[in-house]
Amino acid sequence: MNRIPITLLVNGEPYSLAVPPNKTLLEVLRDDLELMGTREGCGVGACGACTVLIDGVPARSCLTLAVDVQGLSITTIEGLAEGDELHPVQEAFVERHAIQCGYCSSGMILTAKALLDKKKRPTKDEIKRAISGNICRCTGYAKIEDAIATAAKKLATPSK
Amino acid sequence: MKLPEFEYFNPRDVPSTLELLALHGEQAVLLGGGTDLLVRMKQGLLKPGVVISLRGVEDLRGIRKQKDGTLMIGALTRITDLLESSVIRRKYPGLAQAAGAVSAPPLQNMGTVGGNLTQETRCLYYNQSAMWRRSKPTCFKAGGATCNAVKGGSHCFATYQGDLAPMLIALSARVVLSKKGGSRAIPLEDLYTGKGKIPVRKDPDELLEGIILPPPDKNTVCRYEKLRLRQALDYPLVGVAVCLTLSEDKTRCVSGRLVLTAVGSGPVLVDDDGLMQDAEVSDDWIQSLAEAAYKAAKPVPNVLTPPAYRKRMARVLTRRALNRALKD
Ligand SMILES: Cc1cc2nc3c(=O)[nH]c(=O)nc-3n(C[C@H](O)[C@H](O)[C@H](O)COP(=O)(O)OP(=O)(O)OC[C@H]3O[C@@H](n4cnc5c(N)ncnc54)[C@H](O)[C@@H]3O)c2cc1C
Ligand code: FES
Ligand code: FES
Repeated sequence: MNRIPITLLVNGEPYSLAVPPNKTLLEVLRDDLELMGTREGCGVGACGACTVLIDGVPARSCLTLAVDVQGLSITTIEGLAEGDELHPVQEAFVERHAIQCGYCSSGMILTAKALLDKKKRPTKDEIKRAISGNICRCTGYAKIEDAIATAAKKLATPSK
Repeated sequence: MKLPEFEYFNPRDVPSTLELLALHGEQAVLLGGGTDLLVRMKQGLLKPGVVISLRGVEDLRGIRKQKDGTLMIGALTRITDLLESSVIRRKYPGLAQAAGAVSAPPLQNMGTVGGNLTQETRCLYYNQSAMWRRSKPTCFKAGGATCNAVKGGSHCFATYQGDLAPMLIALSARVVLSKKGGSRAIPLEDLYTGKGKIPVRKDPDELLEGIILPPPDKNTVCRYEKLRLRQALDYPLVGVAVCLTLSEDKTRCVSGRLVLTAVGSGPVLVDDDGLMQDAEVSDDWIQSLAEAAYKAAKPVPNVLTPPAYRKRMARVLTRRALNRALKD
């Protein structure tokens, strides 16, 4: 099949590559860019493990054609930490034990980050609604909600 | 899961989209948010030769008030855009409610109005991986000659499970369909065949450009009620949309529409036998409409919950929708 040249802006870095049109963003991130933090769960939009931010908005990378997001800004879980320093949302997930097997975590953390970018002090219901499209089979969600509330506090009062 | 191979086009405006549709016709599919189409393609239910992505067709995006007071919603408007629109929230709150009930926020960020309205009918025995489907005879929808859901069924019973169509039909929306050389606007209910196998009545080279809502009316109240197992991600097992235009003192229903989803192969505009034409609002009246919904609901065993339960829930949700609409 013919390949189409595209440029993707992933975590601030431009990548130029030629991809067949039937390749999903998820496949390009993992197979071509070797960014393994984005997971494939169901592959059909039903779980949220593959969540990335496209221009800051959470989306399913398993249902996004890579050729369709040419030129757009993609954030994956690898793009959150600054060097060795975790993003406050990541820190909060570790502190509040919101990660067990970790399979849902990249998607959950990115979804939470997008929420907090939009809303500094989300209510409990807003947190629940924001992550309602992401499935976690381990934690029972309480700790994840707690971590997001904690992250909101951290972001409101920068320690350093 | 891999997507099959296809040729890809990404037109920038409506005329070039229509040109591509005219050229490729039957073998082309339109890609909106992809949350229905790409799933079916991954499951091997569809292998189109050509995919025309609408993502860059900016003139299909947006919600515009028109001179005659109607509201035009472009086909590429996302579900999230409906939720964030102040016109929709203030003037058509019933639509905001139905939009909020679609899947879950991340999918609302992707899914478009056009894709939502033209989404395929679904069945527990059809919307599965190729491997899963191999364990059963090929069904009508997949090109075979049996129905795996209804024993002895003579045709396809796949269920229409869109959340927006019932509310938009209750609102008397019209849909604009365009092809090279012309456009037509038809009542939204006429877009649906009511047939499981081919649920949408439109030519292969036609593009859904948008929908037109009648001007808002301060005496009209709407409500959408949806039954699902999980409060996110799940398609409706039954959905009930109701819009009532009331008299000033709210004691009479001047006109109205009651529409069901997920209990047939298309949205069901309930035949209320004149019940909503200039009627006195009362508990008995609500009960009669609930009975009409019960009669109109024809669920079959092709989703997770049994049909008898869903049929009864059509009655319960209709009562609830009417009571809540009247309370607002
Ligand atoms: C996990 C999950 C849960 C879901 N839950 C719900 C739910 O609860 N309720 C619900 O209603 N939907 C649900 N959906 C389905 C889907 O997300 C929505 O219906 C969405 O709005 C579809 O829009 P789209 O743009 O993604 O459609 P696409 O997948 O892009 O397209 C759907 C169909 O419409 C055609 N099409 C798209 N745009 C046009 C156009 N402008 N003109 C003509 N044809 C067009 C396509 O060719 C395709 O056949 C769910 C999906 C998933 C994966
Ligand atoms: S892998 Fe994309 S939603 Fe499950
Ligand atoms: S931590 Fe295991 S799925 Fe969420």
